[in-house]
Amino acid sequence: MDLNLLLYLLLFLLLLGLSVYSIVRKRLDEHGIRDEPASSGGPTTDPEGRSGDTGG
Amino acid sequence: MKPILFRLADGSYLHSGPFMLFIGGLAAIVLIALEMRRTGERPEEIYPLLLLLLIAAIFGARILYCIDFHEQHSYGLLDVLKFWKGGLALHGGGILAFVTYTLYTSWRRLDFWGTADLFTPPAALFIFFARIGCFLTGCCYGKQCDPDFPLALTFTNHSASAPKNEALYPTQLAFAAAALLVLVVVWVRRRRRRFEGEITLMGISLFSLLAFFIEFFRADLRVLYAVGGVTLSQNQVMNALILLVSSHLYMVRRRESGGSPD
Repeated sequence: MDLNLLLYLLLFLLLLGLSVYSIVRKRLDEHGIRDEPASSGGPTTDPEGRSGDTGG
Repeated sequence: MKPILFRLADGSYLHSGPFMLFIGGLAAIVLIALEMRRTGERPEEIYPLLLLLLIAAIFGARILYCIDFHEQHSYGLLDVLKFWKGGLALHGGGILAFVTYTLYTSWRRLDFWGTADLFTPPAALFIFFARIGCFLTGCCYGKQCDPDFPLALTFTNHSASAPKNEALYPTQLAFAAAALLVLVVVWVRRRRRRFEGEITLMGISLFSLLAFFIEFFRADLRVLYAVGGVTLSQNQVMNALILLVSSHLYMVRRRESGGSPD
């Protein structure tokens, strides 16, 4: 297969994959099927405002 | 400079033009993903639009190139579809991408100007990489210049489209620098825009203006028009029209918004 065509196809497939993934994810969210991640990242803080940092 | 990046044992090869378009596409996807996190745009609407825009831009660029050069190469319909073989004209891509964008935003009821602002920095980045591809390939080359000109380019690779062993104006690098300048301007401006569409119209106006002047130094143009005693290329006529329309729209939208931040 032509390597130049292969590169274009890779780019198209990447965008197609991102499109399908984002649409499926949206549909799952709408139906409440997808589990939300346990943490959104960053430092954790409990309801009383204490830092999740275990140091000190 | 280096039209063919490498060859495999079976004779197949990777051309630097498609490779740089691939890198530009990846960079544009990363930039748009970062911007979506900032603006809260919906990926399920934006990624399909980006895919359609990329397809439209490549086929539009290929169709215009085949129209412009049909007398030299007598392209058939199948040749037009073989976009990976090389030969793309930027404005054709812009026109078909604009039509696709208008239809998609209308169909999905997306904010026309707000979404366009999201796409402007990635588009500038994509054009930057595409022009670096032109530099490596040796297409879109400049006119002959004084060999002592400090920025003169001399192509020696036999696969390059440009004339070999002659000092030429570095039009490909000038286009790349113009795209980079547009990227920096719109990137800095995007957080302080005064109205929706400002980023898009500012970017398009600036790039059209710079490209209009760079084209005077370009040598590989075939479609020329005499306008008021001055010979302009097809690209220059398009740049002038785009500049007029985009700067007019900029003024109108700025007046309508009262210049207030959104």
